[in-house]
Amino acid sequence: MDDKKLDNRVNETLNSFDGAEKATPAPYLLTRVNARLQKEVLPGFWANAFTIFSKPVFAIAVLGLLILNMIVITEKQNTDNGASQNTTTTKYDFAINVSSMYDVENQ
Amino acid sequence: MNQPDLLERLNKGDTTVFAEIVESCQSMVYNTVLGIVQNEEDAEDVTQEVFIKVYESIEKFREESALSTWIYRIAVTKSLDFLKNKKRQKNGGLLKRIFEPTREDEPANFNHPGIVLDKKEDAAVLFRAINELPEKQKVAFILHKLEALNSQEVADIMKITLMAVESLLSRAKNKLKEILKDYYQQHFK
Repeated sequence: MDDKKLDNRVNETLNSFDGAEKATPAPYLLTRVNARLQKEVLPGFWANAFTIFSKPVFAIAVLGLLILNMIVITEKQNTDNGASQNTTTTKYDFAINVSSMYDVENQ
Repeated sequence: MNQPDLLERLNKGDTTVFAEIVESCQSMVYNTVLGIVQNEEDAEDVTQEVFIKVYESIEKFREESALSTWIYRIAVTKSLDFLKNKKRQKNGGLLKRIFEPTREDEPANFNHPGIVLDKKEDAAVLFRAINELPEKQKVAFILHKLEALNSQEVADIMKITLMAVESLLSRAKNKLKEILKDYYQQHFK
């Protein structure tokens, strides 16, 4: 393709929008917009809940709560072990694990 | 569409105003969006988003510019946002890039429904070339050539000076000429 032909071709292409008609959307655009508006403006309980749950702050807060919970449980277990040992010793010292006098004799 | 009348009715709480805006501006919005996103299905979607935005912020609309200019601005912004999201989704994911490396290299030809039949092929080539322009040049060119707006109207929509629009259009045309020359040299030796 020589230079003149090439220039003509390029100019023709550049002017290919001339006389173009405006494209129109599919019918009932207003109905579709209104339907979408109702969906978006009134998202409902679950959509709202999802928005809150999907926030990183919420995830961090839940994680913090879980860690705190685990710490409390572990601490409690340690305390319980110590306490139950003490109770057992005291129980035998004062013989409070017997229900009647016969049990004392049996021991 | 009589703008002062529309705004007065809107201030009085007339709910039919929005319907009138959609009816009178749908073609202008869709045509602009279609020129930028170059896909009819996507353009339908973005057009709906534009009118949702109009509905949500019409009360904030100040009469500093014409209502149509304001709606054009929303249409351009929404279209560009859509393209950015689409690009981000395409580029996102290392695995996707490894397994589908050539999908985005060859964009499909776009046929604008309003183009005259004997110019459809040339217009498809031009649309492809327009995609290679920088964002601002692309918007200015589409508004000027496809929406047939004058430079002042384009300047109002893009919130830039008339000189800046002229410069954008001139650079866009030069760049398009380069791209088209390369294209025809490669395809029609």
